[in-house]
Amino acid sequence: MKLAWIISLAMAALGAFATVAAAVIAGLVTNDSGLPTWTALGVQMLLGALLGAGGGFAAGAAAQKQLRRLRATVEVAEPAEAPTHRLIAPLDAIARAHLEVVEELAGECRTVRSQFRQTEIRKHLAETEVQHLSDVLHSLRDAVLVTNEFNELVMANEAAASLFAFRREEALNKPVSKVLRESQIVGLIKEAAEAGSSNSRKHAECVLPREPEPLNLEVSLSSLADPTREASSVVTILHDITQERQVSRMKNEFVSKASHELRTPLSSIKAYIEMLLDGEARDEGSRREFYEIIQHEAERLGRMIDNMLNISRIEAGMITANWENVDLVPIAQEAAELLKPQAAEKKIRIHFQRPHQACHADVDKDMMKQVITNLISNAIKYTPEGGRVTVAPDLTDCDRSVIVSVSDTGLGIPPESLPKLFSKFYRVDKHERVAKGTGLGLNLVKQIVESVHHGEVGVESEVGKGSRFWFIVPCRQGG
Amino acid sequence: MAVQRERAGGGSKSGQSGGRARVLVVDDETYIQHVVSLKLSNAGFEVITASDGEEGLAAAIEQRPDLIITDYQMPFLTGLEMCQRLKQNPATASIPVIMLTARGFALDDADLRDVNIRKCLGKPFSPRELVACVTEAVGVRSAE
Repeated sequence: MKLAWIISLAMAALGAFATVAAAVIAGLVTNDSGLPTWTALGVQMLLGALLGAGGGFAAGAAAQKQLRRLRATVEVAEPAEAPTHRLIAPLDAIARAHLEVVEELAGECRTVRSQFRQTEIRKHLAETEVQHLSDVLHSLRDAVLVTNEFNELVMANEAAASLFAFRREEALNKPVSKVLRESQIVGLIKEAAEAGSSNSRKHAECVLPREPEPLNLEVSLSSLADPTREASSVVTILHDITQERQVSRMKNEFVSKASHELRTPLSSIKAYIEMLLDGEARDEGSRREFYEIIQHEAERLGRMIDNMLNISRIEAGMITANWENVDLVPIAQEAAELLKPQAAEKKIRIHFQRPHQACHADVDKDMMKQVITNLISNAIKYTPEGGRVTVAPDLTDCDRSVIVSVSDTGLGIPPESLPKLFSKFYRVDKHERVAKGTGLGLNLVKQIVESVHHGEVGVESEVGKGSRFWFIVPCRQGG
Repeated sequence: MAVQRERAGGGSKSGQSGGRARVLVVDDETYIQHVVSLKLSNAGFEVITASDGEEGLAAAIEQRPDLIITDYQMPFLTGLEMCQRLKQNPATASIPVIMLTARGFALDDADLRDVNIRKCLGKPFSPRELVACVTEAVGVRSAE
């Protein structure tokens, strides 16, 4: 029976080899992508081995049976004393030769098995790596599109699918011009595919019409050149730079507006000084007028610079509040008193509405005074002669916050200007004629109340009737 | 329309040989308007003033000044818009303009020619230099 086993083993190995060879030749062990499927190969080898083993065992058993029959025939045909070794010797030689072949085959089989195991490990590693790369690609915030030399989409990550609103599984292997509606980007990809004779990288910027606002994209196109082909496949990466563009636009606007605002009082100062030097002020009265203008404009310039610095310090988180738990009623009253002379010039009455109780809150006293002063000063500026400004501090929000409101009987603010009212340098167009301003006062109010005191500012207004500005600060900070 | 007229104090410095040249000063900054008017009046020019682009346009049509000095940034109508409107009107199309601007950029040369802006002075400016420009521009116009 031993021989049957040996032969069966040999046949198993041969079977496995034959099966694999046949499969590889016939191209059976390839999947749709054209790559060998190692699992399929393994299964086929195993099947081949089993079939080979089965067949081999049967063949081995049959050979042993025949050998036994031959030996019996020899024993019967020749007397016992006859020299049987003459017949047995060649048979042994055959058996030995068989054994050598079988051993050789067994060795080969072991090698194949170990190679197979190694291949399986490599395949597993490769699969893990592919999965890892795919995870990386899909985790990218930038949209990635890969197209082949026929401009068909062969890969796209989730960001790309969401940016261009397509379903990945439906879009793959379709012409990119059918997947993307954005002809500009399709054009860039085609251009890169045609031009990409060498591995090249190209950058472009484009704007996609999107709601609520258009998207600014930085497009980077890398062509992966194949010398055997005329066109190349292209990797397109789209990076959203909308925010960067906005920040840079805002910065430029700020610099432009700030320089304009600062130059205006500066030009008055410079012009009047030159007039004085050139003797253009002919009498003491004119000279005095010029000095006063210079002083006024220098103060205006100083206030503007202070406001700008305060706003930028608050924005940068560089300002530290001097927290004190104080009653806001006397602070508001003090600010109202301070501005009474300014109001009196326009015959405006400032009415201070005293609440029934004290309004204590954790605040920076000086900053609060500045906020209330800015609001009252604005109310006076935009209220016609003979009008009225009312300052009213009170407790609100179940006594957890303090509200201070400043109402006027002024010009009122057009509804379209209300959302922009607290922005830096914003001025209501029609108000520019009524009074001078930097467009920084209300922004500073907002910064102090909201960024420093974690409160809220607001405004209600009706054109021709007046406005009511208010702010709320919590009584307790950090609680 | 709030067009005010400032008569020149002395006429001794006038750059014009016959009759005083009339200059329209358009600026929403009262102090700038005042200082420019005074400097020009002292130099012998007849000065009229306006406080924004719309007023400036109306004053130019009504008063036909020999020259306009305007600020760029103004409510209602910017200096440039006002100049464009002046150019469209045959009655005011040839009036030369000197622009004062506090903006950090210079206007394009083609823009300046299209709207008859002869010179662009940046703020802060020198009233002395401004008067020299006015004298030159009015002189150039007289020679045309």
